[in-house]
Amino acid sequence: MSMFLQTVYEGIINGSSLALVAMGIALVWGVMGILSFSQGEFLMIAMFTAYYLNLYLGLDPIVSLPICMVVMFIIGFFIYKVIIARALKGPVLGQRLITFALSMVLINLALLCFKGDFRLVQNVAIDGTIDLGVVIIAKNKLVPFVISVCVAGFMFWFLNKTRIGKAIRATSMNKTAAGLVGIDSEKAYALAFGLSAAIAGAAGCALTYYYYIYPNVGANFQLFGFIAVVMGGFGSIPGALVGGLIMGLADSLTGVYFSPSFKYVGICVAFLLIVQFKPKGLFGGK
Amino acid sequence: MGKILEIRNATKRFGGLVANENVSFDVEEGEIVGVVGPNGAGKTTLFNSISGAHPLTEGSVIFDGKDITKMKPYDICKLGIGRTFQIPQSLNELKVFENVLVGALCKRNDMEEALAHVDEILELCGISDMRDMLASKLNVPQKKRLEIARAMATDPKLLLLDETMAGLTATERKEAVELIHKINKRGVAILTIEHNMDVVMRVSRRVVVLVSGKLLAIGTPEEVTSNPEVISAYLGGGSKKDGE
Amino acid sequence: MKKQIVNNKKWFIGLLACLAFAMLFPQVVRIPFVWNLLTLIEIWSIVGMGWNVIGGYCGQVSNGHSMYFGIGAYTVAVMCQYWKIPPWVSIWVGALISACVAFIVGKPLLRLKGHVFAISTMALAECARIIFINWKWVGGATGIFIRAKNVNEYLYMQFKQPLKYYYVYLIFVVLILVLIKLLDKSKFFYYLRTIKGNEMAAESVGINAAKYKNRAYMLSAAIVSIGGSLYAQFVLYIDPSVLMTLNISMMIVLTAVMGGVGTVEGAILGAIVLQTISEYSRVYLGMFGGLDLILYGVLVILIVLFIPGGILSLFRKEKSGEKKKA
Repeated sequence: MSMFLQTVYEGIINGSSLALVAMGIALVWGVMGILSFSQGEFLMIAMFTAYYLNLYLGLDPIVSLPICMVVMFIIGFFIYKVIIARALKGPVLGQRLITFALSMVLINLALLCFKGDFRLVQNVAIDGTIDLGVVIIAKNKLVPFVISVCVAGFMFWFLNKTRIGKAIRATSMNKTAAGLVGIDSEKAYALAFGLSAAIAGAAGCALTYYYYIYPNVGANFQLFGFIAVVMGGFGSIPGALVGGLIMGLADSLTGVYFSPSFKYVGICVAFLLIVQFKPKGLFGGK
Repeated sequence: MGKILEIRNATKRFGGLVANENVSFDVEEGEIVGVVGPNGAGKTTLFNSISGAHPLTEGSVIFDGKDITKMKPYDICKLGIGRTFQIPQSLNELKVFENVLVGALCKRNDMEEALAHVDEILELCGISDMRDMLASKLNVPQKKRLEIARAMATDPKLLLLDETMAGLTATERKEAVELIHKINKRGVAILTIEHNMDVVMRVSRRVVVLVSGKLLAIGTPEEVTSNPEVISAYLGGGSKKDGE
Repeated sequence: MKKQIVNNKKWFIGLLACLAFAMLFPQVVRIPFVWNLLTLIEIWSIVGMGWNVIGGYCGQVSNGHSMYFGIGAYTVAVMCQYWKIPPWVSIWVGALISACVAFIVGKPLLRLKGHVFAISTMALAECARIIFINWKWVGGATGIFIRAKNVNEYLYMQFKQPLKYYYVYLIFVVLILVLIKLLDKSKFFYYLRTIKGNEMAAESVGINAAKYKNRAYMLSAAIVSIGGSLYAQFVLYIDPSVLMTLNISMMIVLTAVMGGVGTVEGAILGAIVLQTISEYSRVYLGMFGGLDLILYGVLVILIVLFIPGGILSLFRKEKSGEKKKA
């Protein structure tokens, strides 16, 4: 029982970061219809940013979270303006390939600048464990979870309550109609892309609390992020969030109870089966 | 004359929504039948049920003596029902003749033979001049003709036309009516959805009136237009005779 | 129709000319590095043409063809290692296995569309990768060598001379090229194009979309598998950590798309451009860990951004422009 609870706990912790990545993917998918392969790399860049802020300025990742988000927003916005805006005029397949090539560039840029070593942020502010009897809670793992929840909450508030957020959501629902009521879709796209990078940034920054930092780290989140988005009903942001959590749980549960080396096979097969019967995701209608 | 199409108690539900309820009528060989009704009357849904895109919930469709209710669209096409779409679904990356060619290949395996058939159909539909143009370059009336050509290339015994006249000018409409007569002369029965009452009167031998998914009236154009129920349904529905 | 026959004749003469050029080129440029590059171009041309069948002609964009690339490679390796079966046989066995796998997984997979289809193919390829990495019999994570000692080098396709690979592989390229070109104006490929254009319209003219998609997927898998076999035979070692990755899957897509999606010439052009960029940048920039791939990625972005129709469209535009004037 204790083992099970511990596994569930770990799953939720991992899932919360995945949920943020999925949220970013869902935002870009929903708003501009692109399957973005560079989301994992945004996460990676944010992790390195948090790492170096910690190393040189002694900032704790919690403190550098807003900085990371702003940095990633600017990077995302910039990438949109320079590359994605132009790609949107071309075929869908081209858009996908561009984000893939972009991820390749970002990974290798990181490799060039930081080398392939595994790093870890030393001396995080919140450390130690809480023993609840049945579950041992590592405080440093709790931090990313709390941050993910806060960021997700913030995003919901932003997308549902603010003018810009509503404009973004309207564009994702119906581009033409949004244009007719005077929403500048170009601006909404740019903001959405920047925002998705910022969300990934928050996830990355939070993850440095316990996760290794290396150029290829984003790959661990990419495919699962996609799967989470489909499971949650693609393009739906709350769906992506839940999808991410489910994926995290599936990841740790299959790892413990199925087979550590074949766990991803289990998850992928489960995904392929679910998609057959629920093509619109777990929560979508038939 | 024998019956080419028999629709028996056709009912189609989408979840709780009833699109067609207990609709029955026949189409005879070589006949032109018009289907009219206000928006949302279930005309296109009925077409989708006949052509197999959205099979009926209850009831049956019998084509040429064969029950095709649960058949797949591609098998139904092979049996001899061709259809067009309300919004033209042309293959924009292909040339006009290639659009028609894929229809011609339905019952032909030999390329040469199929291409010869394509040229004949293009001639029939009056789009020979555009043979080598990309379909994406066509305007809407031309695309509607291409739709008919593609469906005709499959050698149908029955052709389902979904609002081929909508959005056409008076001259274009006249040409389209001529085309429908030409096709009919080849022995093809036609079931056509039309908003424009004027056209329906001129073209069809009999008219089926659908309102809110139910069959309201059936008969010759004169009978139908003098039917008080039809008049009240049309006037009450708020949509005037001419759907344009 | 006459026009078509004339076109075919023209194309055939063009093919012979290209073939003559391909035969003579390495004799003139006697640099082993170039020979190596040419062989890689051949392999990737085959793979690109193979992906094109499902992704280009039929419009079902698979992001998981590394699976079939891997199956082809592993089949020749395993059959040579355990039973001494020469690649001339095992290449076709691999293609057959790939086609069978494609037939089975294709049915459920091809019901999906767009991004979801792409993600599902990725998930499937990931499954395949993990299975092969954990499968001891095929070498597991350490991989497997293809080595047959004291055998006829032609029978076992193991040459010390890179140029021999080039000439032997040319046979396969021409074989597949001619196959695709013959299919290009066939009922089968017209049906695939119709499905790509509009599945609903396709069904309305009597095309069983599911059936033809599955056939296309099988053919595509078989051809990519042949490419994988030839690749394994060329490097003589299977490294599971590079062979069945998402990178390979995406490289396959890129090869077919860069040149001009849905055309034979495009796939070959894509292979030439991408392999040349990747090989030269690896040699000249590879020592600065990652710089070569940065350049590769940047060039890919630029090409896809500024030539969205593929490199081939640059030549085509001139042609269609001429036609308009005439």
